[in-house]
Amino acid sequence: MTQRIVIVAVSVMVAMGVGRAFAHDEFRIIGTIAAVKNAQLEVKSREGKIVTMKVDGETLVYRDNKKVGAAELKAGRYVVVDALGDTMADLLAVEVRLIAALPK
Amino acid sequence: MKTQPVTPVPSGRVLAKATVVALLIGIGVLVTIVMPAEFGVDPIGTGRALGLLDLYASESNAAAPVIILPTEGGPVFTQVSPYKSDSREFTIGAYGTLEFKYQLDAGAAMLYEWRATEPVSFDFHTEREGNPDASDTFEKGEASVKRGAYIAPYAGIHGWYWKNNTEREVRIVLTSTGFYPSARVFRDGGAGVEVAVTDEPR
Repeated sequence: MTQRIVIVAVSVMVAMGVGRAFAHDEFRIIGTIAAVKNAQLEVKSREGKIVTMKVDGETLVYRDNKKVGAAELKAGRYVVVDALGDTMADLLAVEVRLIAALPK
Repeated sequence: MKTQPVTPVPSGRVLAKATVVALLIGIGVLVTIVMPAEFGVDPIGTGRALGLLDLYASESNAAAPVIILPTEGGPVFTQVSPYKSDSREFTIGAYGTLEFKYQLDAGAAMLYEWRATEPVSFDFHTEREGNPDASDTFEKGEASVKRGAYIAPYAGIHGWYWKNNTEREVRIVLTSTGFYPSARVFRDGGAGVEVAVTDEPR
């Protein structure tokens, strides 16, 4: 029991410390949805690179400036994603805009 | 007949030990992390060692009201860096982003105005000198015009991140005066490029 308490307390302490000490950068990814699976969104950028992002219950999805459900995220659709993370390899999608066409 | 598994019940002595250990850990976290980060109190030096005092300073600076006393020297903020004025125009493509920040020392002042041809998302924020991961956002929202006065709470780069959320090109005209030697521009998330600010007012 004592060990469990210590492990939980230390984990909480470490998690809180890490969360507060580092700010995340914001990234904007413009491209085509390649896949949506297991709470992850894969977007093929205009440069042809696949960027994988987490999506969660707080990820906002918009079409024509109106909020829509996450079910609208389907492969082949064009999107502008604002995501937070330390690097492009560790991103959480905050806002996803469905757009009619990719900008030139 | 099946027997139900018996879950061992910890004795009162074990529970008391666990409670004491949890209490000690709680006090440890309070003294080493919470007090320095939240209240700026650093009784055993862990706040300074872990950089937690910066978090307290950052929050304090962001929240502190500006108090200008009507006394000799009260409203006067003497500046060390040369006085500059700067005017530039940016074009942000459809759904593009652009970041532009001035280099300011602690206490350096700046007056600014920017105008966009369409409303854009903006985030006025900083990157501390020596610790670019430490960033504070002082104002954010959506606007086509913003103007104001700013005094840097610490040395670093200070400025705007603009996002064009339309399929049309947006032009932004920024004019400012202040005590900055240089600026940095970041386009579409790319690496920043230093730009000189050479226009000294006549």
